[in-house]
Amino acid sequence: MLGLTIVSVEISANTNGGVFSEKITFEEGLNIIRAENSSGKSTCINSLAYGLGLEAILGPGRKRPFPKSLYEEIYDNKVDKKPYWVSSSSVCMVVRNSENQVAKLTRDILGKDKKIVVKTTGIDSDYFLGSSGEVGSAKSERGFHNWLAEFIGWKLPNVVKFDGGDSLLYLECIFPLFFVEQKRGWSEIQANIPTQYGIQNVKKSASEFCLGIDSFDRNKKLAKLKGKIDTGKEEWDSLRTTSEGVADYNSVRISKLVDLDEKSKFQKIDFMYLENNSYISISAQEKSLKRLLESISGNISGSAVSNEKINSQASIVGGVRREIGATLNSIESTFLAITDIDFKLKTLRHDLDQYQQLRRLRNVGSDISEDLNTEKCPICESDILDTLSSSDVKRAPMTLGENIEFLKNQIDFFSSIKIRTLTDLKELQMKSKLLSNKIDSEQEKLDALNSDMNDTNGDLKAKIREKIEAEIQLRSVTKLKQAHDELNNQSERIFNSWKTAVDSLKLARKDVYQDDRSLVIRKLEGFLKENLASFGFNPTSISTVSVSPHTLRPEQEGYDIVAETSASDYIRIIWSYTLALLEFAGMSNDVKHGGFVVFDEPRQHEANKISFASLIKKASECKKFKGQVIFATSLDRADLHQACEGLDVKLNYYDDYILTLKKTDESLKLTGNQ
Amino acid sequence: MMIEKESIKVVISDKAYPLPIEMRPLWRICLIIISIAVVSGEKKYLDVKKVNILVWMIIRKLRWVEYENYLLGRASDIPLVSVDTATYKAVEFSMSKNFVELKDGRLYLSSKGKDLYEVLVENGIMIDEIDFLKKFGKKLSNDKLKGLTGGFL
Repeated sequence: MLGLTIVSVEISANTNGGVFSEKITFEEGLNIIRAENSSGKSTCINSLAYGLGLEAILGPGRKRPFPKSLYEEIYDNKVDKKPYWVSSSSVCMVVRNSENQVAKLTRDILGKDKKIVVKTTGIDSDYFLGSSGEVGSAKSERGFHNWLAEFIGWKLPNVVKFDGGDSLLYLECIFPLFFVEQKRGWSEIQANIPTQYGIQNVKKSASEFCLGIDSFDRNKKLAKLKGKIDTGKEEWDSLRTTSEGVADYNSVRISKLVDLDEKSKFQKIDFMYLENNSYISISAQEKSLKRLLESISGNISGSAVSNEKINSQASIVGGVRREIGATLNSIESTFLAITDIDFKLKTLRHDLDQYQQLRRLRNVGSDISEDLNTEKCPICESDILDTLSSSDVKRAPMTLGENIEFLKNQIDFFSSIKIRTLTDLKELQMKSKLLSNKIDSEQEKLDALNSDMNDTNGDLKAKIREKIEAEIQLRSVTKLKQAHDELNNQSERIFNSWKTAVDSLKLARKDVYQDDRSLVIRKLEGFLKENLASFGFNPTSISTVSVSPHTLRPEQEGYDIVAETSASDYIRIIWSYTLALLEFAGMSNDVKHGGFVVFDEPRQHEANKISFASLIKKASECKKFKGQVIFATSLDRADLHQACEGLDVKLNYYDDYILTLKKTDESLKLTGNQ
Repeated sequence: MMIEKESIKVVISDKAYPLPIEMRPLWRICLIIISIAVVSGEKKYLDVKKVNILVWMIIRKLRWVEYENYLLGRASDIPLVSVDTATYKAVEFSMSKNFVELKDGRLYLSSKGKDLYEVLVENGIMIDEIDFLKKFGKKLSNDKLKGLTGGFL
């Protein structure tokens, strides 16, 4: 569907000597503005973008898209060059949409340039450009771009930004597909797409929107799910840190919290106490403390501390010390094992690297490759083994490929052993820490028993102390149990939310939109190739040109065309692609297009005359589907006339400056007096 | 108590075995080529004994510091170096394939040998070994050679 037809554009400048102006009318089909260089052609072309509030598509320097003749001083002709001082200037455009509604758009150049006055069915309304407070021109009801999108009949989609948020796909991002300005426009397709909005894949998004194969909702959904997955992972890591902190503070062991990946299953967090050289759960610890308290409460009597009790405590301390010693030995031997594994891995990686170098050498595709064969005897040509070992050994060594695979397997094997050994080391270090805490408390108990030895009530004191300690410990166990339950609730919630996002992402990726997309791309490719043929592109090369399904731009055998192609070919590719989009939209209601194509100086000198004549012919044919093409060119008048002969083309010739003094001060005064 | 006897089945396999890379003929040929190409300079020939010692050294990457210290005269300890028959086999191979020629106890790099060296450099093969030879290869003087072999090689 074609969005707009430009009916006319009028540029005016009020000066001290009167009004300089020019009104150019356009028709459906091809319109050519022909004038010499520095006559104001680009001013006319730029005014089309400016009048639609789209000066951003003119590239850098868009803040002042016109020469000084519309801001400061203007000359009446090229010979005298008499200057006139500009006090105000403006562009007035008349456009028509696909429902035949007409709108007159007026915008100041020198004056209030952030406002566009829109006149439809006799009513003037002011719309703003840029942003008004928090809301931009494309979003706000009074924003001009919001009005323009609605007038064209487009609903601008929301697309994903680099920061993960979303943004409207602004009109400035779409129109570079239809508007090729002189300075940068011929260097690349969509050369002047503004990047300041931070939209991901902005060029592709614009093409997808026009071709009606946009996957914006799908992409947004995917981005949202990816965001959820990332948040889940972050929360999981934070929970892991918190749980480890809780375990550390309470001197307990924590079960390994799994890493979140697609295969992981939910596992509860478990805290375990180290008692008598074995790990027991929180509940078991709680039960055992309660039993201890019961037994102490039922048997508190006053007597001296028995030797038996001291010896028993001393043997506990001894046991813990031995356990610490054994653990430290294990840690040391584990460290040594890790060092050995590292050394082995280093050697294996080095061997693998050398084997890969040898394979690279074998694969060298030059004349020398035959000489590198060592599987035949160079003298008698008989088969020999690929080794320098003793020839008594009849067993063949592995081939290069097998040997490389073997080394890779060895590396995987030792890497997995290293991972397991590191886990063991972590476990041992944790145990060592717990034992260190344990020895302190058991030693304190022993010291206290020793100091109570001569006291007649020593046993009573010891029991009371034991009871108090058990009560304190029970309280901390109860608190840990609460923390444990809370952490598990959190971990279950995070895991489930993460898992749901992962499963949803898998489903979302299996969407079936691919078929329609391929069909549309093939159709566009058809239009593109047809145009290339019309413009005299080498027939053999045409078969290698395609529209990339990834970028939706032309490519040649999977390579970027800019880097591969001559200037002449590349110009013709831009003509072909831009006109292909117009033709496709003219034929199909599902394809969206601005309705007009603008070529400022279509580089006719770089293509040949025949190609340019074919371009004019092809462009003029767009009248059939109500498309509009506008050229500005400085081509020789006779050549242009010859190229347009017999074609339905609207020609606008200018021999001097395009903007001329229409009303002098005197005539203005006379008009005022009447 | 009776110990239950288990029968052990002996299997003799002819399965291919992994081979250290320096025992691959092509790798060793290339080590010979780079030794001559890097250390000999413009003349492109080198004493067979020197080739044997240099190949011995560049195979043993873990001992490079030890060799470096000896060659630069920083250490008086003489590193262990011995006869490696595999290198002699590789020299024969290289000669049969016309990568090198033997004349008066010297190995000359042929034009094919020079081509092979170019291929190695262009494809980034044996970069570390070439680097070692560039730094220390020329330090293997006749005196150092005699010191290493005791004049027996």
